[in-house]
Amino acid sequence: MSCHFRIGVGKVKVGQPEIKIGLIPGAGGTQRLPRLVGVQKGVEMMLTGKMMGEEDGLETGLLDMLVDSLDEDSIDQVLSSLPLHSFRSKRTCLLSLKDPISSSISYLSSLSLLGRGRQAHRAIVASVGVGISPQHFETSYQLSNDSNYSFSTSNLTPFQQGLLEEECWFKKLLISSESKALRYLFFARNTAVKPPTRLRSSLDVNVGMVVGGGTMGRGIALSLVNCVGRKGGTVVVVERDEETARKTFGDIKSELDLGIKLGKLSREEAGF
Amino acid sequence: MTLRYVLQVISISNDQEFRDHVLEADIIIEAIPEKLALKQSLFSKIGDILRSKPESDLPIIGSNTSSLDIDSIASFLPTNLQPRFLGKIFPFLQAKFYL
Repeated sequence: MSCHFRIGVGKVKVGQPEIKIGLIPGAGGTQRLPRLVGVQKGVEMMLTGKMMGEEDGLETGLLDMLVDSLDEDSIDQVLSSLPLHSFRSKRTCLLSLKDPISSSISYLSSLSLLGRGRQAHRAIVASVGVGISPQHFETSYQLSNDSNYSFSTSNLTPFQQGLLEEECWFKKLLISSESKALRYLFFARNTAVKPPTRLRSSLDVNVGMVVGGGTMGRGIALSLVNCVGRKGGTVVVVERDEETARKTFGDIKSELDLGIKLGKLSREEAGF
Repeated sequence: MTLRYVLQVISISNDQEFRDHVLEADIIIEAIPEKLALKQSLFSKIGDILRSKPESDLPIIGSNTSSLDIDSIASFLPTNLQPRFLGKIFPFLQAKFYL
């Protein structure tokens, strides 16, 4: 976001997901995003952590241009269509806000966000400086119908000051137990589905049987393949009738096919 | 590492084939729909087949149930098989990724 232009190549996902681990965007993210997409959208993106595709990125103004691929021809095309004459005015920190919004605080509270990364929510609002004090945001549910609490973009913190504020909040959050817990959860979840090595079975199993070839049954059959496969063993899946048995056989084969495609399994290993 | 295995999908309606495989298996995992009556009929059937097998050679039997009472399911097996019965929920994602 600190670049003058952002060009999306092919399929792109953009967003600020830091809230999901109880942090706020760092390195000026809280300050640049609202200047690119507007305060309302920017705060929303940071509070939800939701990612958007390239089309939405273009529409919100986060991306300046989309190209299918980047080769010599398309680079020329990109360069010729960018407004390079206004290079300086495209510096994100110098951008003026596009949305002179006067949304009330009810907008933010309507996002139903409190609960996850609670401290980070407050930190984002405070560092962007949208005119709601952290204390107000804290109680925004109660205040959501109170029209006195409105914020306007004139309250946006000046860029340099915003950077300092962001850094200060970021450091506070980094050592908060809330963010530590969310980070732990994040990595634990990732580790759980990506074991570093293959499961080694201590069971002496040559023939494994699964009764029922539904989603679970097929998954279990695959783990049995992993378990007995080293010894040239057999995996038997039992289905309720011949027709289902044929279909299930095909389904398991396609799962193995996917394993090959993902490079987790060689063709020989899959027994093809 | 090379995996060499035989994958077979059979129908339970083929009595002889089912019987042979049950007698051969080292581990049998049940993953049929969560209906107690269905599980009862399956485990009784497996229990009957295994009646002739020597104690030392019995397979491990597991149920993948997530919502039914595991003790009720175990009670469908003959007493000699009950100590070899496990409630085993497989983390499916993991099963796939381990591949």
